[in-house]
Amino acid sequence: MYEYRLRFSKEKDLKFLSHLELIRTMERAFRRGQLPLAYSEGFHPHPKISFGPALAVGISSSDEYLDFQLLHDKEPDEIIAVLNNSLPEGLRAIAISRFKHHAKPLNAVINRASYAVVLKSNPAVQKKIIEWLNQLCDLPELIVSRYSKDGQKLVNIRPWLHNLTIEVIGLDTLEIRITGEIGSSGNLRPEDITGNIPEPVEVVNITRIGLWHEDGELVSKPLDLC
Amino acid sequence: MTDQPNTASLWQTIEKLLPKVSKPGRYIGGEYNCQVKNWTTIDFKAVLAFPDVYEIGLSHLGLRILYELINSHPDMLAERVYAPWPDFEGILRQENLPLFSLENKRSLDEFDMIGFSLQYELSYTNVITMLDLGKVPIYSKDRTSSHPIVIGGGPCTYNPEPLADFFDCFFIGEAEDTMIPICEAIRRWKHSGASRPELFRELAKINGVYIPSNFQVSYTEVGSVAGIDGLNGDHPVRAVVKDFGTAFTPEKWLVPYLDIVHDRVVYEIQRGCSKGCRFCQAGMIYRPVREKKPEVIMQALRRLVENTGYDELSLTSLSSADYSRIESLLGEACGCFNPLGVNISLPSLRIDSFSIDLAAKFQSTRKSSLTFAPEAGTDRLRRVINKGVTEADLFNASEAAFKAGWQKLKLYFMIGLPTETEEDLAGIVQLVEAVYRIGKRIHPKASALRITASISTFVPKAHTPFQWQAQISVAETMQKQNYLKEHLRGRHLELNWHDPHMSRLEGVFARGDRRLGKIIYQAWQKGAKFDGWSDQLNYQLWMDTLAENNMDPDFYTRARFFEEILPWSHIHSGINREFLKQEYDKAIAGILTADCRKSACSDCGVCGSLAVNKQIVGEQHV
Repeated sequence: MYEYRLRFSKEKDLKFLSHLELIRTMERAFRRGQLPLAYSEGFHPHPKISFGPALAVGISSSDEYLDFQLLHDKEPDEIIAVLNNSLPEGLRAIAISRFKHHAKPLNAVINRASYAVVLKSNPAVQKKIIEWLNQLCDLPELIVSRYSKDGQKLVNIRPWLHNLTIEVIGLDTLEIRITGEIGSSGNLRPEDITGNIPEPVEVVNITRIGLWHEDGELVSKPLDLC
Repeated sequence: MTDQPNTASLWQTIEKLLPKVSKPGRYIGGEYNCQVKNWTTIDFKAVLAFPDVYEIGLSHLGLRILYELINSHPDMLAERVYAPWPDFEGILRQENLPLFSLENKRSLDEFDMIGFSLQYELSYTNVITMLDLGKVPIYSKDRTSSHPIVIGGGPCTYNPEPLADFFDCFFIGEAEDTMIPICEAIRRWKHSGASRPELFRELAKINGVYIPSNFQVSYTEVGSVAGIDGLNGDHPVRAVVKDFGTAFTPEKWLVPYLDIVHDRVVYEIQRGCSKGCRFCQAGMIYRPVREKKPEVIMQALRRLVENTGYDELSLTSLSSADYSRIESLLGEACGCFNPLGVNISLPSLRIDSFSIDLAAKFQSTRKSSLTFAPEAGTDRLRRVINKGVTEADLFNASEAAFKAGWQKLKLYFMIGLPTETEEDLAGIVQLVEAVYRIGKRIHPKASALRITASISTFVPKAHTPFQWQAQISVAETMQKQNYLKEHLRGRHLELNWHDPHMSRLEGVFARGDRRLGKIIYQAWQKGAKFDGWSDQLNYQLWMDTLAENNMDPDFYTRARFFEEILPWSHIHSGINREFLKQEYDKAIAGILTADCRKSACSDCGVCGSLAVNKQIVGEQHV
């Protein structure tokens, strides 16, 4: 078996795909490209592809990952070329690493995510928004309400928020970068911040711009961890 | 057909609204094999519309055929639109945005032609919603030569009368040979400056085209049809492809992102069905049976697998196990595609051990349950409907299925069939229990053993031998359903049934006349939409609308006199009226009519009147 890790982007209209829809789309692109995926055993064999942390519907990303296994050896460059030929517009294969040893699965590795959010607001309240955003990292706790199938839940997201920077793009436009935890240790969502700004804002777009592993001082990208 | 330069901004606006709606993937298009042609250089633009959600609409083979057929023409384009779910409709109305096509994101009123697929009666209000949201006048009479031509196709066009006021024309039958000539005629007319009636006269010359405004309907005092007068030209006759064996089939199969209802490649291996079940409209209106050659099928399947990356191929037809070389075809297809991780499936199984053997042998990923359609509870009633299947056949097939490892069987039945008595209902109970006992004998310890009885209400349809039959009332339906609910109990038995109100409404429109047009319009105005969805149907609203107009739904579900002019009498399906009447009489007498694939011609009249022949590729001779 030949194992690989793929970095890809999910952009344009395909930001509206759910995680399940993305999985199906990727599997079909592999099959169209006649890349010989390995399958699990059993009554309902599944192709051996596993994805990194799911992306919420409506959020683009320039830094997504998946692991896959092929039955035959293929050069990473060839796989990238084949995939980019068979992927729909909006999904793009960027880089591939071969597994050199038995690597941990993506979801066990990735624990940090970074998002770029473009916000529009009335120029009159821009200063207030910046002030509110700037004090977030100094707060001892930040309670937000989240909706799930079980109803509304209050969550303290402050421990998961690691960094927030603001760039003024124009009188009515800000780009903020939010970095925080993702995975089993905690899960910061950009909407946790944007949904609680106490002034009227329009979220123009949200892009996930980075996923990585952080352990104290040590920072590693998923492609270097396999 | 104004050329609005603001399409980019329309999509920008919609893109920002999409995160607020459920399943935004329904509205983005961009599927693999989606064909976005150049809007400004293409001369003729069609939008193909399906009046239900994306997941159902894209599962429909007919529109896929027409989509690729029109797009294969260098000077034409075809785009798609599906009914927006109420949440998205609400947003479009609130923001005053038009319903748009998925390819070039154009409002429906910017097209030359809108082609609606009319598959079931309870989608009619969605047609109105889509026209209205697409900024197209709802009534045909209100459209001018600057508006698109609105055309409908599909099984509902065999009695399209309730929709007559909304459509400029209907197309009855198979469109593979005729779609392009229709588009050409509209295209020529667009450049000619001629009036709409002039176009309609041209279109009426094309095989299968029906212009409702060319016919005037009068009514008797009691409300039945007194006469249908053709103002221009001949009566519409169903169109049939000249040679189904080489007819156009799609190859650039659209691969959706969403989990659609039939999420696989679907390839039509034969058209028509020779069984002759008397309740079945499809069995009548797709005659005669025609098979594709195995080599044609295999070649197409290879390309479809390459073009889609799908892991499942369905060999579809009304009765695929009847395809004369089904076993060798399945063997070849499995040999070719299973090694690539692609499974082959058959959508319809006959009730016999041959079908079970096929399913067991060739379906490598097992579906958890198998479905049989005995349709009725006793051998007698199955003779009435010409379903020549006996109790013994069902028991043998069930035994074969259990022995092959299946533990879940689903059995389809209808209630309200002609001549049905309590004995037939008791027969359903006895059959289900007997099948369960067979399962228990073969899998004595199986806790997963489960028999599901799915009960639908029989709705008589136009152009079938039962078109004169009464449909049972809501009260009777409930009574019969209650009987089954009471008697079919047990941990391993499951009972499903159809909403009796929905079946009644379907029955009203299935055999309705033009006077129902205003009912559809008024009900729509009051908010009726997605009437085929049990969580959306507002039955009382429909009953109120009928009552306000002094119309009685029972009038439409009643038995018809043989002498009566039926609302669809002027539409010719190719089947002799005498054949239908004779089948009706044989039904009441419990006499079977043989399958014309194997036995002598049953003289239904289709082959002669439509100049077509059955095409059977024949048994494989080794």
